[in-house]
Amino acid sequence: MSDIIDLIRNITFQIATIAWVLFFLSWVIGWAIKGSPIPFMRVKRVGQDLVEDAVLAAFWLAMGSTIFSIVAYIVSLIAMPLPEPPMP
Amino acid sequence: MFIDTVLNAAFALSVLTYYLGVLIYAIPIPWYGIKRWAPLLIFDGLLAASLTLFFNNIIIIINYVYEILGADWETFDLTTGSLWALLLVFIIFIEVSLTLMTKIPYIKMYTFTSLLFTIKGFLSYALLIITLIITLSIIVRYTATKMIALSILFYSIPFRITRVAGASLLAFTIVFYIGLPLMPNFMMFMAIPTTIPDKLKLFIEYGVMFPRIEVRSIAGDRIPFVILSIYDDQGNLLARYLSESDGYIYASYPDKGFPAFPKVRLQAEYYGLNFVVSPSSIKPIEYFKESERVIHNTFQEASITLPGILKYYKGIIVLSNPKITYNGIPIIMEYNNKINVLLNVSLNYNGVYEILLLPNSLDVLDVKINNTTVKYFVEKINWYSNTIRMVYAELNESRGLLRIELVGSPNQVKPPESIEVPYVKTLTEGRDIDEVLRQAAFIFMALMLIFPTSYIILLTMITYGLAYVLGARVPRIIFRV
Repeated sequence: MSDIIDLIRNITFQIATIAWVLFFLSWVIGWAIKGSPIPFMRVKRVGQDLVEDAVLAAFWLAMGSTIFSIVAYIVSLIAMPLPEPPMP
Repeated sequence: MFIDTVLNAAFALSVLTYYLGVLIYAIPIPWYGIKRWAPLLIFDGLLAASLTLFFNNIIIIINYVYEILGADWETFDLTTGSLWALLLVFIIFIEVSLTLMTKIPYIKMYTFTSLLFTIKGFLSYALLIITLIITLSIIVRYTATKMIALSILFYSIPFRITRVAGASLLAFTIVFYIGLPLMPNFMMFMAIPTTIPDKLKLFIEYGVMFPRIEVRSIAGDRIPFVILSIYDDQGNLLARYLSESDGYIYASYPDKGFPAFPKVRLQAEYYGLNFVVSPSSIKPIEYFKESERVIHNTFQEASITLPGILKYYKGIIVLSNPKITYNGIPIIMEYNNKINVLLNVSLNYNGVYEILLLPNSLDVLDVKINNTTVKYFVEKINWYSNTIRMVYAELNESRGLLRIELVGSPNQVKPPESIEVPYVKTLTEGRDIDEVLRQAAFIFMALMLIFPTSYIILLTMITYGLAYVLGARVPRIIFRV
């Protein structure tokens, strides 16, 4: 069972790496499309969308561990001991 | 150990889900169909992570609600276990009876066996349901935490592949863990709307007999329209019956019955006068004899005597006065619209004596003792819709033949109406016995089959609703794509 957990963690690590690479790629592609001398607004719009998504992806990537610790912190805040239940 | 591993896997999977969402965000393909998944997966990852971290609290909250509602697995075990055992005993009993009935030659009881087959089928279904419930309870009880951990694992698998399964499992565990031990409360609440009255408790304790009671005079003839009251030791009225025109009390109808108390007192009333009954107090179980043949639903026979009545003849009552010594049985002769009552008496004191009770259709012509006319007078008694005459005679200290000449035609009086207090019917608060039996059968059936089934269906519906809330529904996307 712990093998599976290791496997999942490895996959997660690889996916995070790939995501960083893809972020750079889509950032570059996005700016390339946006900055290309083509007079079509729809094409340029696609470029801008790609840049926006890349920025969001970079944000969530960078914040990943932070967000999980925030979740853990919030859960630990909620997980207060409950009062004794009233006896019927 | 298992739970820790599962929760670790669930957390790792939720992190994977999150990074998959980020990866999809970063893919340089401007296709909305794929990009739609990105925020969803990020949200799912965070939700699954929170659930995983919240695991202990889920368990605590479930236990908290369980205790608030007063659920109790021990009561549940006792109730279902006893029901199960009861059903099993019934089924075995019916099985044995059926075997006996069908295998022994020359005994043909088709109707009865087919009825038994029906009941057996019904009981088998009930047993199946109870077994199912017990199995479910064992599963839920001993695997609740594991199932919750597994459901969180299902929750955190990426792309919502097993999200519905996880939500259903979680909802099932929560609802059944809290709801199943409440089943006895539900059944008791539904099955017993009122408490058992004290009268009914006595009835159950002592039982009831269905006798035919003969009411006789000293001379041995049966007396109609005697009102017989039956009291218990403390003098509470238990039942009151009227003997029919043939002089029998048929306490044998299902509505009536005779209380089989350890000791009952009897008292009779006739023409408005109270009479001592011999025996005045009886132990019904010993006093009543089993009938040789069952006629009119009669299972027991008995006879009681009224020592205050010497003879009964067509509405005429010859009273037995304790101050008079009677030599032999009175003779009553009927001829030419006249009736002669002959009594051989010996007296010790002078005085006025009660001699006869007559219906209204008869009149006294003359009273003679040893052919000497004596003074007499008549008192009228109103008894329900009849007028009765009580004949007194002034007799001297003497012995001899007392002869009372009556004129008119003897007629039976009209029986008093609605004075009976049927024992069983008062216990059932005025309802018919078959109605009560039907109700009891319904409650039995409901306890065995309908209530458990309907309760499980109820829990299943709640589970479905909770599962829908927990995961089958797609949440609102909080990020703009």
